[in-house]
Amino acid sequence: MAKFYQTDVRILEHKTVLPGYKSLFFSHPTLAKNARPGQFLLLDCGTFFRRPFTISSVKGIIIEILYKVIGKGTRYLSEKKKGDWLNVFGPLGNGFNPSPQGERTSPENLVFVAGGTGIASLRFLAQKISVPGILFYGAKTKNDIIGLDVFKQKKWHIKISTEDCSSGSKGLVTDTFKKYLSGSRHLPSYLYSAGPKPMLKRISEICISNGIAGQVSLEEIIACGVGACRGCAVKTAVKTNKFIYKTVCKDGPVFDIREILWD
Amino acid sequence: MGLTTNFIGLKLKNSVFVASGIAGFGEEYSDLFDINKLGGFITKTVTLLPRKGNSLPRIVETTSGMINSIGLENPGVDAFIEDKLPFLRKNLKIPVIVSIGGETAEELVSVVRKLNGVEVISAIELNLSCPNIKSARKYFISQDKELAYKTIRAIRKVTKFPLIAKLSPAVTDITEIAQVSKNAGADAVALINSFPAMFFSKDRAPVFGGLSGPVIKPMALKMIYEVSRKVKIPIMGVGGITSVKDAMDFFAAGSSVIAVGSCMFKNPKLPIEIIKGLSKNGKQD
Ligand SMILES: Cc1cc2nc3c(=O)[nH]c(=O)nc-3n(C[C@H](O)[C@H](O)[C@H](O)COP(=O)(O)OP(=O)(O)OC[C@H]3O[C@@H](n4cnc5c(N)ncnc54)[C@H](O)[C@@H]3O)c2cc1C
Ligand SMILES: Cc1cc2nc3c(=O)[nH]c(=O)nc-3n(C[C@H](O)[C@H](O)[C@H](O)COP(=O)(O)O)c2cc1C
Ligand code: FES
Repeated sequence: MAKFYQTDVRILEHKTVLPGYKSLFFSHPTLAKNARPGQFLLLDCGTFFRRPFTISSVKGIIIEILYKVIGKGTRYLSEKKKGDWLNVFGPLGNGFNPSPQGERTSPENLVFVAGGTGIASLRFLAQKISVPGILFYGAKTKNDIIGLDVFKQKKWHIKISTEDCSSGSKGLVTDTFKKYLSGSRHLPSYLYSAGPKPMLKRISEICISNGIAGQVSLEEIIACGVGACRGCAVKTAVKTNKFIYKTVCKDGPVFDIREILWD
Repeated sequence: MGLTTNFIGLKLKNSVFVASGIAGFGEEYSDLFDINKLGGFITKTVTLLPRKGNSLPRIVETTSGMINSIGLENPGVDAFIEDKLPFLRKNLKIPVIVSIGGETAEELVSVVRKLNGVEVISAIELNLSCPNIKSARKYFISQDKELAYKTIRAIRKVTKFPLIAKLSPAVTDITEIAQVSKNAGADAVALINSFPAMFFSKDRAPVFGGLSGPVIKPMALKMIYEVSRKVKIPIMGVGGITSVKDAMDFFAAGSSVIAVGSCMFKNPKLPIEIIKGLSKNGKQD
């Protein structure tokens, strides 16, 4: 059983990676030791609900959060300075599971598809996986591309799509991914994906129809973060033609692509 | 103040509970703190049959609080006894209060019959803010004096468990409903459940739910104060408690015990902090 903590930590470093995007570092030995890729933390952002953020990297005892400033909570967070205290709660949720095939040596076997800040959780996963794969990354513009350092270090194939064509291919990452599949002789065998819901839905459909297995990380509004309040329900398939609600915060945020019943 | 008390015949080591629906069935937060430090534990409301709950969105932040529209998702009383009670039986040394809900008195009676004699349970909380389909005129059982009386009376007849009637604040005069609850045989009232409220989903569909959090605290205090002055019945105070000071306010208004609710989402260790704070205050007094 995973153990989680609620504790005050001091911010070691808080830097702007691109305008509107920040990286926050703090240290916590046990949290760092227990954290698995795909798990998240609930940070006290001054708001009534805490705000959920994926653990974006762990180096030794240092944990990194990589985030986009979008509203009240993230603005509050972004104003915190090095040395300030931050109340963290986590690590929460089930992270990514190792693919059943194990880590294949051939790089074409493994694909990551990231949309927007979804890159944060895949970045930690890439840190933990020894072999490189192919990363498809969709961002609004070239000014929204973050977190590629780990992928570059580990020699991943990186395929970027931007909606305004300012970098990589023009359009949605789902289209780039689909085009890649139809043009390649060797289909990947396993997918990990994180990003906005419509993207995850489309990616899951594409993978299922191509016989590719995989996991996606969902986002919902989170209140308790521990599966108690049932606020973050997601419809999942059961053997009969019925469904059951699971929780994004505790059963997820990572789910098998065949498990989710998309609206 | 706030230390060892006797509440509806239960010996408590402190007067701090966690409110129904906030901490699930006890296991969810057990990694974070020792639940046995609480005065007692109240389960999520269970119903006769399993309920899937509402579709999303189920929760939203508001100014100083939140609205929930969970729709009483729960596994049903049979699965509760089978799957959830073993954890409570094995781990809890404090009183366990099971919250039950239903659309009719008959349904609630059936739930109680299944819980009768289960040794780990110390008391029953009746969530009378459940939608009541039988009467189209009123929405919640506790919004209708006669219905509330009949319902509590029917349950009183079939069980020896102490009964806490949890009331909806959406009434003209809460003291009348509290009086009726007492007359029908309730041992205590829990004041208050969330306020009926609504919000719009992203595509502007109306979502109906209950407002909770610091925003309702002043209204909760007033209702507790009024009931404690007019009706001789122990009160469990609930509604936006977010600090030791809030807890003291609830005692001052007339609560015998308190339950921490949605403010736990911001500060999961809040109940423990309040217990510590109260015991410090108690020593100073
Ligand atoms: C498991 C999980 C991991 C996440 N990881 C990251 C990450 O690593 N980096 C990153 O930049 N973002 C991440 N997010 C998204 C991040 O939580 C939201 O951007 C943040 O909560 C917005 O808060 P705000 O107050 O600034 O915005 P607000 O103005 O409150 O809201 C803007 C939008 O943010 C989303 N949001 C608001 N509150 C919550 C909440 N309590 N839970 C979930 N979503 C909410 C809603 O979609 C809302 O429309 C993650 C979300 C989840 C659920
Ligand atoms: C997510 C959520 C779920 C709830 N579920 C229940 C429930 O199942 N039964 C019940 O009697 N009250 C339920 N409540 C109401 C609380 O127990 C409490 O009465 C109310 O939230 C007011 O207290 P607060 O302002 O401290 O949250 C729920 C509240 C929330 C926020
Ligand atoms: S946020 Fe409470 S169950 Fe997921």
